[in-house]
Amino acid sequence: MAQQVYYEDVAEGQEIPALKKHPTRRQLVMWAGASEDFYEIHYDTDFARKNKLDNVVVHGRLKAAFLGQLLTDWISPDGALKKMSCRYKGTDPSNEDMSIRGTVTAKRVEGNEHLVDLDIRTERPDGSITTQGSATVSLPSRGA
Amino acid sequence: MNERLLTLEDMQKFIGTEAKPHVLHVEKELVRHFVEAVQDPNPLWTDEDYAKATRHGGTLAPPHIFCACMTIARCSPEAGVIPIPVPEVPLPRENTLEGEEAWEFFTPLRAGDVITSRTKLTDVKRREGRLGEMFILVYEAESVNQRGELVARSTNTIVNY
Repeated sequence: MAQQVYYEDVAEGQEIPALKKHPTRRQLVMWAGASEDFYEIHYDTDFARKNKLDNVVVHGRLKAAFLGQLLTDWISPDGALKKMSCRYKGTDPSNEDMSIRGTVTAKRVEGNEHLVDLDIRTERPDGSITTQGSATVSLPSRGA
Repeated sequence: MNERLLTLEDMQKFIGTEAKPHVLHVEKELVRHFVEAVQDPNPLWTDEDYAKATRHGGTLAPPHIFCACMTIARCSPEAGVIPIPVPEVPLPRENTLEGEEAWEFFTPLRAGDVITSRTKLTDVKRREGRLGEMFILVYEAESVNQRGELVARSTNTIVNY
């Protein structure tokens, strides 16, 4: 694990360390089991084609979980994920590289909480954004 | 399937309809299946020795486990059907896409917790869009633990067309 990040270390506009993923069909099947989302467009090519898709697509909520991993990797163990939201803008084929990224948009102190707001997103290799959202985390402060 | 199609007015009558409460026992194996599926190796989720030395004093379940197995996805695992948050509410059209989701986290989750989630339909809109006539359905859920503490709130929007 990386060293603990503190509120004072963070600046607006900063990119947090990206997460690289490559969701295979095997991973989609594991996710289907873990989430009980057995919708066939995520693992059955014939079914996906009948639904006008070229091939199986990555579950939206697996991408949301990747965003959760991005954030908790960055803030663990002393930070806390307070809020996360995302919009599913596009589909992602399996067996393709995916970048999970976040950018700090604001910092603020509320009561005794040191909060950081971020824009978060998943990107395909061509840079197109297929999931986009925002998050708020609290971080420990060196002063506290 | 010769019944008339459900209208916006029909659908709005379902606003407030709540799904049967969903109870989830958070166990270490559930967390392991989740982190293996996501490939999330953070030791805070699975390594007791590491986690004991943190301020949490033990492992946690990742907050993003809510993306998988609470309130929203664990609903209608029927063939050819996207999971629907409140299966008691019919969908007016045939096709469904996930629109957007939001989560707010309050109390950390740990193995041994028993989480009860209540999900209800809170809004229905109708729009003409790229896909023709679209219905936007908004569901909201609240999850509490065995001590009655609020653990999370979530909002899930699906697009039905």
